[in-house]
This record gives sequence, structure tokens and C-alpha cells, in this order.
Amino acid sequence: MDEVGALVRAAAGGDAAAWESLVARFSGLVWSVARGHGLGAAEAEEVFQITWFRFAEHIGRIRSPEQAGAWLATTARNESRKAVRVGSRVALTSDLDTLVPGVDDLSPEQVMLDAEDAELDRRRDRELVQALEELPGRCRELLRMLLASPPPSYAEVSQALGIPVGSIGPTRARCLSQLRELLVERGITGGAAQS
Amino acid sequence: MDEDSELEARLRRAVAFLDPVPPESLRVAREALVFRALDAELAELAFDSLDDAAPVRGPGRAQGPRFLTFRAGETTIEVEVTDPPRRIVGRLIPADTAEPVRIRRPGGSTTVTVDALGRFTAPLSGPGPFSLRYGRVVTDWVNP
Repeated sequence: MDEVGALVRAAAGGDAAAWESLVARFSGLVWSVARGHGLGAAEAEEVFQITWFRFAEHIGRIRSPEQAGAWLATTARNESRKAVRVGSRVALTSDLDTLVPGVDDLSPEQVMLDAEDAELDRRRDRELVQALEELPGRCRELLRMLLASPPPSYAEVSQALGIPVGSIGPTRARCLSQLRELLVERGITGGAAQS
Repeated sequence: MDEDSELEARLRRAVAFLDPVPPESLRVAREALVFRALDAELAELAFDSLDDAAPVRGPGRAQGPRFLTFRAGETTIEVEVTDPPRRIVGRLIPADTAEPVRIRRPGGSTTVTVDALGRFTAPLSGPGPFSLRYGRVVTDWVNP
């Protein structure tokens, strides 16, 4: 966290490398907050971009530079809520198909060999994300945040969501168990256990 | 690894594979630092009519104008964003015509003159956020 504070202070002073480090550290978190609100690709990108524009404008004025992650997540959350109020044009689940990377870069032989496995993995991934999308809003929001790469600290999640650090673990467990029920209902058991 | 951590790890892989941050957005974020107005006084968003609006369910976008108020010290900037056609109709309080208002967009900025009552208006085309600059005052970025 101290390291984050130092990066924020350096970026505020115009250090482009420090800024890049902050983008690398928190872009996954900001994106996951937007997606956690069920926003489609276009709306999520608008939320993502304005969050970073706002952060750049505020960077020299942020009271607790070491809490920049929470500041970014909170800002992304406010912007996501506005985007939900404006209304979404495309739901995430309906653009999942276009999100699946193609196989164009592979050689035909490789495609022949890998197609079946890859197709199975891809279908499993899609079923998992689909089920995640269908969880109640609070579960979806919390899990998407925790699934960000790199994952946020519980302190950052706590500040962004306005919930005590101590409640994150139990809520995560409850949400994962809800997700598991949904997967069992649909006969989806594939994944690590089968591969 | 317990059952929850295992499921979480699978989910993390699936999300990272299916839904990474779009490269174009990542590029915009990397460049965002150069857009900040150094040495400016930041007028924060004090009111946004969207904060009181009910969520839109199903397809379609909210209709009607959006009202925004920015404040920095003694200066207030009131803005109405109409849609369609998407335009900014703004007012400086207190009225001041000494300088034009600069409309900042990620793709470049434009200026408009202010009338005797402190009013200004400009079209707002294309996607992306905007921010206004008047003299030393710069507003927070807003997605119209």
C-alpha cells in the first residue's frame, strides 16, 4: 500500500512510468467494477475511461494516496451506477460470444488437434461466466471485484463497497456457494476436476 | 486448496480469458495523465440530475436533458446536456465574458464564446467524456 502511495505521488509529479504502473495495477479492478454492474462492453469502456480521466485530474489532490485503489473502485462504482440509470444497450451475456478469442492465429494442424479440448474449455468458461452474471447484483459485484487481475486487497474492497473487512470473507463464501448451486442445477461440473 | 479457492481460481481464469480489459481502453487510460489541467482549480461535480433518476430497465436509453452543476470557490458552472441533438448549454455564475469556455474532449478541445449573461452553447458529438475549462477553473470529467 505504501508503494501505491509513492506511485501516486510520483505520477502527480508527472512521472509517466509511475502512472503506467498504477494503470497496470488497477485497470483490472476498475474494469471488474464496471462489469460487476452488468454493463455491456460499450458502457463498461466509458466507465473505465472516465474513471482514469478523473483519477488523472484528481491525482495531486487525493487525500490518501496509498488508498488510490479504493478511490478508483469507488469512482468506477459511482460511474457504473450512473450508466445503469442511463440504461444499457447490450448486456454482458449477449456479447459473451464476441468476447471469445478466435482460433485464427493457430495453424490448421494445431486447430485440428486442439479444437475439441479448446472448444470444451471455452464452453466451460462461458458457462461459468454466464452463471456468475446471473447471481444477484451484490454477489456479482463482490465476486467480480475479487476476481480482478491482479486481485484487490480486502481493504480496497471494503472501502469501495462500504462494507466491513470482516464481512467480505463470509459474503464471498455465501456467494460462491450460491454460484455452485446454480452450476449443479445446470449440470455444470467441468473444470479443474476433469482436466 | 479448499473448494472455494478452487472455484475462484477457475472463475478468475475464465473471466481473464473471456473478459480482459479492452486494449483500446487500456491505451486511453495510459494516456489520461497528459489530459489533466495542471495549475487549474478543480470544479467538482456538485449536482447531477442522473443521481436522482430511476434506472432504465430493458433496452433503450434514458430520455430528457441532463443537468450538471460544478463548483469551485465562488465560481459555479451550470450545464444542461440535451439529447438529441446532443448539445451543451451552459451558464457561468457570476457571468463573465472575459474569456471563451474551452470544451475539453479526449480527441481535442474547442472553444465557445460566452454572452453577456454568462451563457454558452456548443454541440457535443462523438463518444467519450468532456470537461470544461474557464480561466483557471476546470471541471471534473463527465460522461454525457
